[in-house]
Amino acid sequence: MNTDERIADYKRKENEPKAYIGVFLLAIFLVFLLSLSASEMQIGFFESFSIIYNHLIGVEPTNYHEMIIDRVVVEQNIPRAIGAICAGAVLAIGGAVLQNLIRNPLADPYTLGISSGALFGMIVSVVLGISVIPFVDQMDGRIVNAFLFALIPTAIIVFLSSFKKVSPTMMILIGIAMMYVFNAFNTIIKYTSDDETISQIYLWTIGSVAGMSWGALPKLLFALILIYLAMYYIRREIDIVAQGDAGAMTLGINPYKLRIIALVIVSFATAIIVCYTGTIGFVGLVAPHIARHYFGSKCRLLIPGSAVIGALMVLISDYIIRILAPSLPVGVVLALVCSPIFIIILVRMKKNEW
Amino acid sequence: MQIDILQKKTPLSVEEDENIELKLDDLSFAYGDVPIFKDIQMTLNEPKLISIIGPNGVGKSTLIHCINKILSPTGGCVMVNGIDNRTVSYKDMAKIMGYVPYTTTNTFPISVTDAVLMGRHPHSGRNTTDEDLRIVFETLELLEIEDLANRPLNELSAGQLQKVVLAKGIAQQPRVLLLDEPTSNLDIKHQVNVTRLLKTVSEERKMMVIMICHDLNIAAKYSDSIIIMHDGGIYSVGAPSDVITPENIETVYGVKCKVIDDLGKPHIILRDDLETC
Repeated sequence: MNTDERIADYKRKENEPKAYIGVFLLAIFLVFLLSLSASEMQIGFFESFSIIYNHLIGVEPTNYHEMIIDRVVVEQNIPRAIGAICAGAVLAIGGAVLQNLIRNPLADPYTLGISSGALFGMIVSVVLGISVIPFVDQMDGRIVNAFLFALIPTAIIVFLSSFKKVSPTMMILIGIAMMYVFNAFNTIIKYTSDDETISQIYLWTIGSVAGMSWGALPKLLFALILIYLAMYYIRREIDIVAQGDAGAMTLGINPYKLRIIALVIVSFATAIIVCYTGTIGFVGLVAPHIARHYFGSKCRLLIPGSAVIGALMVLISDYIIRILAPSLPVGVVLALVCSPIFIIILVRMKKNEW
Repeated sequence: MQIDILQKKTPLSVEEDENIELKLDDLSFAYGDVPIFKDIQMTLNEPKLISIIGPNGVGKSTLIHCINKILSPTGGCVMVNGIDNRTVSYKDMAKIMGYVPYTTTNTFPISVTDAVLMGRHPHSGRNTTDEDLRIVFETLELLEIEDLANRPLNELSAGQLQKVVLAKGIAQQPRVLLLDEPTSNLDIKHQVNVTRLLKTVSEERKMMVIMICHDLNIAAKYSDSIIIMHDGGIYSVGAPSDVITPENIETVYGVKCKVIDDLGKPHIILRDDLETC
């Protein structure tokens, strides 16, 4: 094989796994269509399309039943499905990027204390009515609060690294310590709250995409586009840092700076998601690992790959809930259904894949 | 210290025909209270193969890390063409200086080609061109590891992995290449091949190659110059035949030996304390 053939061969191999992204996108689309009719209202699969069609061309519902199912499909199911896709994709991208940057398969927005911090900030805002920045509307106040508290683990890392070298392992340990601190604060707030607030906090702790509205979607989509574009832009730098800090420095990258930049962006996107869904665990940790199986560990395909797999995981879990047990939060099913699948993939994986 | 975002950077670029000069000015380093070396004065300005030798823990790797900005010296500075390397951005440094580390982390393995392609990052940035790929494959052929191109790093042997890391450094095409024991995991055939290759590279590409080496005979045979480190400083610098002497080896390593002349290069034959020289 001469050099030209090798170059062609490399390019072909590099793009081979792209087909999987197509397959996963198709699967997301199919589950999305299925989930449109999923509710307690006994709406048929094709009926949901005609409802949407009628809604779009402006045909008014003629009776009470039609009005209700129109509401369910258009006002609840569509935003709920899109919300699930955004939440899954954002958390999975965050997990994939943090795992590579910290070189630890356990890293994700949850284990780095970002999700718990965001949740605490949101609870402070909602339950105690304390907003760090006043004079913004209620939901934006929540997001700002969530973002600022989600930044606390990052701030601690930045503070420590001003006089000490913070190794990747230290970062994840700081994150886990902060997660416990935030959870303790959340418990204190729960302890002093009334029953209704407790059940609300409880739901947020597990994570749920029920109650998503059209109004939430612009912000969720913004979070998804922000994290996707930003992380995809620095994909090569992330790959190089994943191979070691010393090597990265001598290739012209400051790994400390890159990690802080990535942490701030992941914190911001995660904070937005947490404000609408609570802390959905598991997906940020597991989706990237499933993605590594299909796409390898290079960010060029790992980021889109994690995004589609994360989105699919949350969407399917939420679909299962809606047809089987509508009152359960999605986090429960995610763990119940996806853990066994994850373990099966781990077992079937080639030796030492990561 | 670690996050020098606010620090002003001095731009540094070296033209292709411009000579490069590394000047270590009173360079000192200490890990906390433990001093590693003190007040090192040295100027390196010729494109040749330079070996750093010395016993374990004498600060050879630390010295290299001070030169390429992985560590910040606790005293003195390293000047690259007259500019303190601490004020130069990592990006500018990477264009002129490459580094082949002793160990590599391997949490999430990638393919050999992708690993070597990373060496092109300082030059190509966001766009990998066919030219970059061509350089990568030519480097793989140079090191005779083109068959490994598609293999993931975690399936390689220690010696193969070492060659991949070396390929990354060569593909970077720096003006100065620093290597931390590049041949430690190689068999004798590949030790000889790789060291000879480094010498050829230094001559053909006008590259200053500085390597840490524990095999004194290999270092003596191929190096243009040898730096002996001992007791917190530079003990001796010079051509192999001048610095590889039984006296120097005994002072630095505490090992008795006999040095014979082999085709004009010094060759060491170790002697046990019980044997007579």
